[in-house]
Amino acid sequence: MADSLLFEINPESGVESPARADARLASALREGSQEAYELLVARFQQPVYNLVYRLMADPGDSYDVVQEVFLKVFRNIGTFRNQSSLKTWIYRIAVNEVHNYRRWLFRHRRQEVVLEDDSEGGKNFGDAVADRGRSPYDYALNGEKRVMIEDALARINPIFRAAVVLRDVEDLSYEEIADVLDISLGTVKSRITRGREAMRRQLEGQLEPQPAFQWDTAAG
Amino acid sequence: MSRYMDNRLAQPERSNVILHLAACGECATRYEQMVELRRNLRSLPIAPAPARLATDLHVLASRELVRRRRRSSVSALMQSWGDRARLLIDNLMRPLALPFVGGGLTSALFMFGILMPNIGFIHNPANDTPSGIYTEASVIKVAAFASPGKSSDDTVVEVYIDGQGHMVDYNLLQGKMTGEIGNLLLFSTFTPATMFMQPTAGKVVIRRSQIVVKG
Repeated sequence: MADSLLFEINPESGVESPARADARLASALREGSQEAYELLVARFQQPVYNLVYRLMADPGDSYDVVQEVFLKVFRNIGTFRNQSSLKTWIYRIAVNEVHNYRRWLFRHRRQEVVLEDDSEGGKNFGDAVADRGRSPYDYALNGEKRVMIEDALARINPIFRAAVVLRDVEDLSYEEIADVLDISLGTVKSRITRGREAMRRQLEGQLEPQPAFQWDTAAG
Repeated sequence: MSRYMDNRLAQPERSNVILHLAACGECATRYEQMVELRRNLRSLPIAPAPARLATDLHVLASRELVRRRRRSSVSALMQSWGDRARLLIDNLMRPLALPFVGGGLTSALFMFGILMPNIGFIHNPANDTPSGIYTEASVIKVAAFASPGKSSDDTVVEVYIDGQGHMVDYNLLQGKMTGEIGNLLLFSTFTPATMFMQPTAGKVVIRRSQIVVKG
């Protein structure tokens, strides 16, 4: 029965278009179909979790944020007008929830002492990033490069981070990113460019393998 | 450079960028770094969702469905309120409830214990058949001082006997108290009444012409 909401075979044109499938799923959700709710969770649980995980500086809170995202999806499905895909609509809710959570966190943790200050006494965004708890074992086991990429991603401005994640991790088009972030195409291009540049500067000189980490192939 | 990487440049901008990258070593290095960065970002593993997330989201979905159905109409809303009130009352009464058998027996014992001490039974010892429960006081031996027939008047004396069988008091019901009657009372011996096999106080009625024993 669940498969009937996934797609329909049109005798004339073959498989149903994604837009049509989204519209049918949204319609079933508005009608209160339990099957539709289950299908929505099965289809978007992992992508939404991955997106939230990459957008949050501290992924430990991703679980709660994802639940809030789905709660808002369930309660606001009536406002989905098929003007965009269901995916971009849900991703927009996810980005907004991450932003709301970040603001809540900032209000409630404003009095906490920042661990490091730069020499000029000011504070930059990188100083406020939560410690991801990396251990040397993590670096060895999970790949040093991957860990550096994730740390650099967590250190850049969250506004640019969202654009880079949506483009380079989620592989959304510029138009879809504009829809998700509710910004113009020009702003999308600008944020992607600045985000990539910020990450490149964070990782400059680190992505190339260092002599200390080169394996002796003769012994392998 | 970023848009060129994403194939978002139209001609002639695209050609201009290609020419520039070919000529400028610094920009070419930056471009290679950005390509490498994008490649690394795309190769990041998908963060696996925790196993219980699916369960929690299904529970969330079920609750939302119930919430929507509850608000779909006035009758559904009223029924929902009724269900919640019923559940509230059930939960309030549950700690006080007892199983039927135990509760019934407990209630019966409780009522019996309250009522029984307050119920009095009318007792008429005159019609009682002597039994081990109670025996009346009796005369063992009438004193030798008594001389029946000397007086023409009947003398009836009610004698109170204690638990040891001794006379503790008397009441002249008929006739006159004479020395003879007094000696009879003093030197006669009695058996005390008993209650549940235990000696207790009682009464004996002595008639001078005839001994009538009463309890």
